[in-house]
Amino acid sequence: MLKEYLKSKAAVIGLFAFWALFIGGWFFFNSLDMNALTYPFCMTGIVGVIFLIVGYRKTKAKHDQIRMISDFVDVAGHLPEPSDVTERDLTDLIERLDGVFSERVSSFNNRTKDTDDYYTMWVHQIKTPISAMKLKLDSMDTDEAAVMKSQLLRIEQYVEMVLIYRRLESSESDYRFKEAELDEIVREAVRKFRTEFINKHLTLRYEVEPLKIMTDEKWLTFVIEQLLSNSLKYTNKGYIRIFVDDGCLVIEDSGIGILEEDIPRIFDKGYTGYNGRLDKCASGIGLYLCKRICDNLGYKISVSSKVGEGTSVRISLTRPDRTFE
Amino acid sequence: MYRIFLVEDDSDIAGSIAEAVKAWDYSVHIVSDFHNVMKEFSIVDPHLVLMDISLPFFNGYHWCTKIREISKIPILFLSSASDNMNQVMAINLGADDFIAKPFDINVLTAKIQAALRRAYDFGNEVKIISCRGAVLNVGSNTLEYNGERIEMSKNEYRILYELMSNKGKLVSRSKLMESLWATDDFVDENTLSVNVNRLRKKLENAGLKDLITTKVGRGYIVEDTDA
Repeated sequence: MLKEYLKSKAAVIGLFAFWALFIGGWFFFNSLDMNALTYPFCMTGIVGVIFLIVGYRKTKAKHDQIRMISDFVDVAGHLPEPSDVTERDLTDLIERLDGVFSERVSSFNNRTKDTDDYYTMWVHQIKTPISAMKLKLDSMDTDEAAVMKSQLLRIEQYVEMVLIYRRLESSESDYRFKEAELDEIVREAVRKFRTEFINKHLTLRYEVEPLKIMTDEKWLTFVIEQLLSNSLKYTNKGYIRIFVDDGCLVIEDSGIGILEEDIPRIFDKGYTGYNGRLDKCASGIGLYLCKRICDNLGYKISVSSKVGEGTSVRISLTRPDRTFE
Repeated sequence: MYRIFLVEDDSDIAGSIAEAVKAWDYSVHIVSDFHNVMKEFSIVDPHLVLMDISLPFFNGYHWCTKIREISKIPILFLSSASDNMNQVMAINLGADDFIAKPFDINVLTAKIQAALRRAYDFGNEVKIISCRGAVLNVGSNTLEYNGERIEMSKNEYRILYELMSNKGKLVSRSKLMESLWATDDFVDENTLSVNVNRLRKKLENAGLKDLITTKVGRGYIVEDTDA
């Protein structure tokens, strides 16, 4: 700081030195009495140093003030009083930019909120026709109705995904941990997909024992439904097995499996892998959301698979690093 | 007969609910004037209310509050706005339950029954379905024929219930499986066949041979001989 200050005053110091040299030289070459210079040199030197010290302290005070307000969101109005034309100009400029910036931020926030509100409303809106169709299809007993019902369930899931996706970014306040029965949560999800199990003639080996866990039911349900939906999508014969092993919920299927090189990236956003590329609808969002939600819930999720033999997804439901409230 | 007051502005949904609920011998009134729901309410004087949240003119919360000013009957909310806020709000305003759309019609009827049972002690009113002199008692899950009681497992009862309540209509195997899955029995096709055969044998022993007819490759039917 001091060095920088002195540097900025180099011109003044230089000028002072030049005057001293010039006057001294003039006296010397004209054989005048050099002693006569001692007093004025001392005096102007002292005044000059005092001047520099005072200037330094002023600059330092300003510097500290600016440093302090740099953490503020609202900088304008807290700037130090400008002491010359340049500073005045800069202050004006900062205040103008600050105004523009806060305007943009608030318009961005408004737009985000608008979009959020719209998504929320849209989800509610579309659920009405979905409900109407579901009720009609429920009262029909044909193969076509069964197929339409499972397709409708997929639509319902995609709709749910929109809300989940928007909410994912919002803070942890959306998570409410309560004691819940894992068996009930899983059963509910399985019931939801029963039409598809039956349509595809898949056997369900349901081996979930009663287990009390601390969780947010809504988010966990989304994850389980997503995983079940994946298993159903990629399993055309055989079984899906759901069981609890060592505090982990495991969903295992005898489906087409996942290529080994796809597994490490399977939870990446937008990554669809080989299976996803075969299925044109795959967005690479589903598992990404599952991973994010598990992270937020404090669960570990992992996948193991063999092409042609099946896939097994494991969620560890213990949260060792957190205390329950 | 219980009267149900249905406040739902989507006519397709309202129609489907009314149809499903009528099968349980409830009479349903679908609100037509959403300006003045209370007028219809006092005319119908229902036992239970099914209430949507987003309605024309006033929302469901408004009408819930209005109803609570004059009545304590069960109110069940039906809504697509299923986030915690809305549920909490509905319950705070005096709703008895909250059912998220899209819902399963079986879940809805089960919740209606539960609410009615809590409010009116509906043990003394039992629903029965009969066919060829065989009487299926829906409350107690039993079948009686010639004054004799035929013991059935949960699955067998469920299958017979599904067939008898659709008597005269073909019920596909998938439909039967769905109905078993809905009550948490995740059976496969073999198990269904085993269950149906066992049920048949029991019926045959009780003198109800061929109550259930197989339509190969399509499903089963209980003929409506009473009609």
